[in-house]
Amino acid sequence: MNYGRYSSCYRPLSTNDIEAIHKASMLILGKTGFIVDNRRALELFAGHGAGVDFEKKIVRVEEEWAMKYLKKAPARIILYGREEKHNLVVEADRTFFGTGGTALNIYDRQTGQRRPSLLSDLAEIAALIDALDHIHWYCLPVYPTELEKEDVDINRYYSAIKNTSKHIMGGIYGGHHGARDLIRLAQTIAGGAEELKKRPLISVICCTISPLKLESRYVDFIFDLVEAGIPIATPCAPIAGATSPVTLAGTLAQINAEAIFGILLSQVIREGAPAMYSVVPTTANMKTMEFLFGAVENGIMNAACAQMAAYYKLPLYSTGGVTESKVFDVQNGYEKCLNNLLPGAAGAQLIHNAAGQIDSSMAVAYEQYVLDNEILGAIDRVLQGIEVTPETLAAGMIDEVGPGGHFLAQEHTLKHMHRELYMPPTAVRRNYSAWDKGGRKNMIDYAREEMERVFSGHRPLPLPEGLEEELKSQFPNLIV
Amino acid sequence: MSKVFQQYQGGSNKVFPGDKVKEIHEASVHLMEKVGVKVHNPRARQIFADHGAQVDHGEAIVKIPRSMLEDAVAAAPSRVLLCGREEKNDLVLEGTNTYLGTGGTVLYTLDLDTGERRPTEVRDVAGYAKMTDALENVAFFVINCYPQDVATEDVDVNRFYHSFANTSKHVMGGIYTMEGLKDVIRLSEEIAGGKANLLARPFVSFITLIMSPLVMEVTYTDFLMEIVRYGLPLTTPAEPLAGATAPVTLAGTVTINNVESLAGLVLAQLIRKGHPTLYGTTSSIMDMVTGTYMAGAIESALINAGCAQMAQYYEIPIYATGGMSDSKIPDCQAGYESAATAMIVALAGANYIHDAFGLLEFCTTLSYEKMVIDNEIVGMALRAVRGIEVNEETIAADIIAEVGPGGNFLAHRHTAGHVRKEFFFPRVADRQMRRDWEASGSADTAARAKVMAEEILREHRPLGFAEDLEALLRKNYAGIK
Amino acid sequence: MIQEIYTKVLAGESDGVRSAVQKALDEGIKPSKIINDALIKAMDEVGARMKSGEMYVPEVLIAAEAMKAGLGLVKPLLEGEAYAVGKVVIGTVAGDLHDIGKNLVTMLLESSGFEVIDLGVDASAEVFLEAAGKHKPQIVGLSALLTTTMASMEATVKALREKAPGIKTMIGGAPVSQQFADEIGAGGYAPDGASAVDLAKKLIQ
Repeated sequence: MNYGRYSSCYRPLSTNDIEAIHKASMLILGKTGFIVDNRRALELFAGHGAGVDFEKKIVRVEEEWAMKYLKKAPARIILYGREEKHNLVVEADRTFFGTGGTALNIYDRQTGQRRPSLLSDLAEIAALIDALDHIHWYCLPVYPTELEKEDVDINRYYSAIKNTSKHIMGGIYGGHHGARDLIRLAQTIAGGAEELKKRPLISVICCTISPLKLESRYVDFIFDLVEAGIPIATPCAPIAGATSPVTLAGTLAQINAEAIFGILLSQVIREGAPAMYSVVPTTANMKTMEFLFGAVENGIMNAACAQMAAYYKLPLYSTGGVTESKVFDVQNGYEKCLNNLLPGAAGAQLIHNAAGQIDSSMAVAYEQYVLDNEILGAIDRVLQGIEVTPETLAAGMIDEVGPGGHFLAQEHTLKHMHRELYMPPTAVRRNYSAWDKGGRKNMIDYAREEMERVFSGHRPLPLPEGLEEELKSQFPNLIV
Repeated sequence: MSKVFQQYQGGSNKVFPGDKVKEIHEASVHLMEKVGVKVHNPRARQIFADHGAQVDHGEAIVKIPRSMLEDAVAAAPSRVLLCGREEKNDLVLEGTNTYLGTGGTVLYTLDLDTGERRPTEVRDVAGYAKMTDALENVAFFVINCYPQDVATEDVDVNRFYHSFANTSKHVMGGIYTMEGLKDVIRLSEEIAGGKANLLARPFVSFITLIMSPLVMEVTYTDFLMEIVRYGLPLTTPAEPLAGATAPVTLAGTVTINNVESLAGLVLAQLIRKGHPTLYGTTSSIMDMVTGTYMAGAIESALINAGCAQMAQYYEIPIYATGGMSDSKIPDCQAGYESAATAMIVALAGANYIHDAFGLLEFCTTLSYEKMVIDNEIVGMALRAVRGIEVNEETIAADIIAEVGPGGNFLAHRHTAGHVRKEFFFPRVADRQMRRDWEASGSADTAARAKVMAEEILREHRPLGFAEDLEALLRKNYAGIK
Repeated sequence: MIQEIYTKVLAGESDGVRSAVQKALDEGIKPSKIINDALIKAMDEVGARMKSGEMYVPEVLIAAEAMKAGLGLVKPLLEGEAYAVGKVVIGTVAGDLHDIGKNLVTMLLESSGFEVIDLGVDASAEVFLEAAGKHKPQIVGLSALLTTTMASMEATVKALREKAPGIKTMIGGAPVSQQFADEIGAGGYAPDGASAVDLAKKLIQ
């Protein structure tokens, strides 16, 4: 079990602020309401006593009703991997970092050229992140552009499951048919429908539309997934200034209402269904009105959402560092760092999009996973903070060493250095002369070497024997 | 004070819980009383002895009793004003007010034209001071390079003269000779129009080092005493390296730093009660592979944040360190290391965070491009420190209702009215869609920053000196280049 | 037994090295063989692993301590045989009070079998010359951290070149470079601890 890292270093909202945002969201849910473009869901809400305007397809819920159903949702979800060490216990203030998508392009790892992404990329990235310690789960990063739509879902998930024993999360693209195939595939791999409910090795993302809207297709997916016991994330992605107020507080009031509404839907379908408070707050480029992924306000809002999710005691799906940069430059480094650090320091739970994406999430790059893994490692060190005990204070040893001495060869140094000091795998720590003599290699060069080392040396845990044949017989369109 | 430099409140970041602050304090008192500090300067040792410290002159060990420490902490001001030559650049150091500025002192810079590393010269002192003056998130100028093109005895006066000439923000620096220190003080008096004016609005302050572990040596301590007697603000930073000159455990490193910096502060307060003294740290780690000092290591940020917690406990403003990188060029590593360390220390509410602009390669090399980039990183960090303003107007529930499900906020006056305050607008980062970026030449961040740095150096006009003052200063100090 | 000593040095187990060396001596293995084939060879391996980043500095130093523990047993038994790889006088030049870099190089040289005489910080050209005359080292190592002290480094190297021409000089520290070493006529420049050991070995060949 991995319980994640605790942190509460960054708190952009005061307790009063949290209350104020809660009240505003309740007002939005009670007065403005939510468009639910799905007859079955509208009837279900009405049946549970929510206010439903069938003609305008609007659901309105009062605070008391909302809080009653919100409390039915589990405060803790376990996302399972194929190995025990990769099982993630998702609950308040515990941080995990994952990949994200879904991009249509990838920087080819041989040529460096940007090209359409393929199914083989999903498998190879899975194998890469399987070996990267600070990436905790695999959120499917790319779309296999060579496949027919109806073949996409099972092949995306299967190529991932086969190549990493970390938990798999992703969206659905092949419509209703794709969703149902995927559920059957997961059930077969888990060893049956009940087994999957007990140990969900996949979770699925179903988007809501900002402001305040649920699309029919996604609602259908949610029905099937909830019934199968698969954890769901229902993220909304308001763009401050475009699809939500430009003020961060206003965007938070709206996103909070949207995140809550997704959970309410899951709970009217099945009480206790595992659903995450899910957010992708973004901002707009005020010059072009295109959305921004790397803006610092995104990190601030994700941090605030961590506080809101903790206030409701709900598991959180949040969003981390993507960069607007197209290359592995300094902007890439600082945008990724800040937007992963801020939610991490606020105790955000599942931080997706934390690794791999570049170019405003329009593309992913293999070496980017290695770069980001290192940044996430440094952030993990921040979240650990400073441990203060008589042993770490080491006054006795300082006394022994005395003024003007040194601590290089102390047992204490040897014993504690691995725990106290993060050893970044790719940052350049040699001095100028050594760097110059060694061919002026920089972090990106070391990242590429590290990537090649993983591909030549690391083998993910294989699937049980015979499973692939069984799956192939059930799913003729499965590419193995 | 009518106008001061823009203030931000850090302090939400705590790297250890509040009760642990007490533990570190107690461990520090224990070390001061039982182990003591080696004070090689006999005059300083005598001051400690005269005030009742237990001094072993033979071993040069000074043991500082608890009461002496407590008296000094009580006497040191909790609010230190560091002025600029213009009021708009005044810094109020107290509580968790957070400012970031430059630092050094380096011997090399990446040449803006060639991109190659070369020795720093007087023109770089002037250049970086000018950059400081122009960049809005740089709050002060800690003189960040050593001019290798002037004689040793002229270094101090050149460093400070060219700093004052190119920025009206607060100038702080280390000194290299006692004569140099005296020159710099006289020079500052002449600019201020007399000692009284200078002390009323100190636009210059100094750094004197404590050596780790637990050593005050002769020369720096002489500087310290001279500065305190004169009355200009001072910081006494220590630079313990975890695993080398301090325990590898960060708690032990914070403790040693605490003892060292406070020892300097105690001496200052013994000489002159109430002297504006900043608690100081430039602590980091030693890399376990190469055995060298690291500047951009994430642990450095944690140690500095820990020291900020200690300084806040003593209610003494802190001079701290953040925003550096060990990369040799402005690349991805430089971006993340600078961002992480600046952010963490700023969130800790450290008051005067130096080294945050332009530094690469273990604080040994400067880069003009990196300074422009760091101005942006620090801007983002301060945006995060500012957090979220929550009130009826910013929550805008009525506007969400007005727009309704499925609508948009683009053309709403609420958007136009708040956008400039809510969003940080970067100038170096590229935010174009790929096709536009490619069409405009596919430049990376460093290339864009280079253009901006060139523009500042070419076009920015700092306050400078009146003609007659400049003539007078150059006449009085023939060594000025 | 030679293999065991070698392994225990690498693991940094002082007690283990001591007992293994004692056993080896009891078995009648020659002291010079213990030194050359076990202790020094182990430290060569440590040096290689440090350079490749496999071993961290504190691990290297603990291994060095273990090596010295073994050496302490064997050294008194040597009859006039030289055990040290070479002799180095080292110090931080006048005006400089930083010594962590110099201390690290000292320990690394010692752990590679060099005998090192450490002059401490703030050492003047005269102090270096006197030590060179007294200890007759093959190498004098000079360290500086502040730029202001580069001048005294130059003066010291010059004095040594003139008055003790048989002795090689090597320099290190943040402000200096290969170029500076060439300019002042130093025998060599090492950018970090691990390369200082390599350089010293090269200089005595």
